[in-house]
Amino acid sequence: MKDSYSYRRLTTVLIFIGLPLVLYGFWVIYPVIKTLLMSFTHWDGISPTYNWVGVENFGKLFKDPAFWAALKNNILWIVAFITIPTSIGLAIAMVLNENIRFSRFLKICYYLPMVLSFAVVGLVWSWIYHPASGLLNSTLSGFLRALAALGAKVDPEAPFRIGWLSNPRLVLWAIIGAGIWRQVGYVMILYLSGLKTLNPNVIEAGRVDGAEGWTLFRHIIFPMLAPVTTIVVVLTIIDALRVFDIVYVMTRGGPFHSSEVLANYMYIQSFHNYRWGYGSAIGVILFLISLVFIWIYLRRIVKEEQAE
Amino acid sequence: MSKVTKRQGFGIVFLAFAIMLAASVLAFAASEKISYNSYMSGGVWEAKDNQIVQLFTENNPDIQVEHSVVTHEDFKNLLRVWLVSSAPPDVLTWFGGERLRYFAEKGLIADIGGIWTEYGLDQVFSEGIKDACKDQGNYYFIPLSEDVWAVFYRTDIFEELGLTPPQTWDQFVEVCAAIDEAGYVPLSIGTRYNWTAAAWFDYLDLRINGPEFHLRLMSGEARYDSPEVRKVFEYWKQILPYFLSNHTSYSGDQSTDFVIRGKAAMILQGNWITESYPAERLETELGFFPFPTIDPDVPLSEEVPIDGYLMASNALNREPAGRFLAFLASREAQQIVADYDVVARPDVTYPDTPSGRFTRRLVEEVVEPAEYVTQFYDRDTTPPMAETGMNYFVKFMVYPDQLDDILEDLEKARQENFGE
Repeated sequence: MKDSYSYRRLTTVLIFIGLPLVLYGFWVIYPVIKTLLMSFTHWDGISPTYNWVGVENFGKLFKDPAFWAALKNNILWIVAFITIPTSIGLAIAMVLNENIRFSRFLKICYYLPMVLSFAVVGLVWSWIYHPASGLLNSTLSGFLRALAALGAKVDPEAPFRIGWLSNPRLVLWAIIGAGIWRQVGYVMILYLSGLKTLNPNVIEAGRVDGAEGWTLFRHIIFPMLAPVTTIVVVLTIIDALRVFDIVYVMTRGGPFHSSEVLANYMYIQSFHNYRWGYGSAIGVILFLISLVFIWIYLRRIVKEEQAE
Repeated sequence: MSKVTKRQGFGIVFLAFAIMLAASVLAFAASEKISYNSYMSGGVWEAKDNQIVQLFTENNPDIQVEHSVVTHEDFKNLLRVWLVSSAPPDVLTWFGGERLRYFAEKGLIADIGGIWTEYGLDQVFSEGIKDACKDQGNYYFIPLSEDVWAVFYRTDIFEELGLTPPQTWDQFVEVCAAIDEAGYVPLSIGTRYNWTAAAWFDYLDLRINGPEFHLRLMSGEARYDSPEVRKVFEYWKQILPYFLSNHTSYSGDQSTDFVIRGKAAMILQGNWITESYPAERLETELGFFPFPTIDPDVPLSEEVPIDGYLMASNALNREPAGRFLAFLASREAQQIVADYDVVARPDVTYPDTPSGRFTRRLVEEVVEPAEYVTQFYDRDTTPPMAETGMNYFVKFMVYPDQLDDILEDLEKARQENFGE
């Protein structure tokens, strides 16, 4: 009786776990191994032979200025993404968590950009940044025109010479800005749900002890939000590392690699230049970097689940 | 809206079945099927492409053509996937010359010499075009059209400033300066996707060092840090102040708009400008001249990239696909595009429309005088070299002071790509 029970349990487990495991193996594990193997070759995508070259691709990669530019930009993405959208998102969540007027409407407004994919955000912002007829430069010009009408000595045409996506010094920040616009709503939602789980008694106790405003936030609410913060930070880091579509749509990493990121460079090398080995080597590096953060994230999740 | 009753529901299901049945009967009426994928997406091109397929199916009701159109950029990536698959599209659009030979050498494209002999195409096309269709003496390609590159300019701006089309480099620089002084943008360009900058590099190299050196550079035999290439960039530097500012923000099409709106006076572009230019203003406002001469001893060459069709070597429907290819080479098919394109067949008539007349003038004044033709930077050299090169051309246009580093990096890329 007991035997048949555990046997039945095993089959159930196998059925429920087996299929996802097979799919996972085929769509995730296999490509990872294949990419790793391919990074040691000179494969061009169509030849029947792979042309094994050992670690040559990695040697070339570490001497490639475009690779270092991409890596540097990815790090800047991470820095910008864990500071700016996280603090803005948290601030908005704190405000909207109080039952102010229209808070539901405002939540929807801030969350809406999240509904759009990065590709769409990229397209929309390409137009906003258009030098001659974009929303941003037109607004700046309108502002200067108003100043000029008041007698200030400014040139209202000057903003039309700002190339947000063409100036190599501006382009990276212009794209990150568009990314942040989308990310803020995401962070806000995570923090809002975090705030709902806080124990109101603790906050009340803090209030009784005289904690107000910033002190209350700094010493009571923020520490209690720590688990959410970890998840937010790790998720934004992973988002910043795998950023691809918005860069591809807005500039393709250009002008001349000024806004290059690893994922885009990997795509360009493999699919445009037909250097699959080289592209795979970039993929392997990106995977290794991501692995560190994914590891932190998973450890956190596992710990939480065990605690429950 | 009212709810659908059960009876109405049955009716809808029945109707759907009937439609499906009728559709499949119609599909079976055509006994043979071929698939044709093209990159002729958008605007005039797509319309003409559809027209060609339609004419073929009218003439050959026994063959059904499954036609799909993919954007140009995506097509370039997808082609490799298609060619290696076991059931590829039978007929595909592609470029003549090196980009064709790359796949021909790997055995991925069908040898269609049989079609060339059967339909006597050998006698139809010019030597230069036939050359772009061949690899090691065998035909792999049906040519359709040529892009013709020239400097297009606004005649009204030239008239207003009392300028005449320049023929030499010095005149060209003077014209640029005069236009600049008058407050117009002398040279429009959009380098967002890099490749448009390569036209300037190609033409300067062709005019300064000649086609022979240029082709050696393209095939990796000449060095990028050579005095010849440095000279190209030095000439380029003289006119850099005259290019549209913020050009890295704009795509090629967006840069054409500056000419159409009369903000910019000149643009080095392919003849597809006639498609976007308003037809009623085309002949009165738009002029063109061949890229100015720099060294009069250098033979005259022009960039004339050739587009056309190929058959995948894994094609499942070779016989009907062959008939389709033969049709694509025919006068009646090529006549369809003769409105806006310079057509590979010399026996088509360019229609008496603004764009037709314009195209005919391009053939007479640019294509016919040329002694040599090249395809284009990204078609004459290897894809990774082209990617690197075009990136650095744009970098040079923004940071001309970094020329020494740029030449060094370009030479490094050449050695890496051509295995030295």
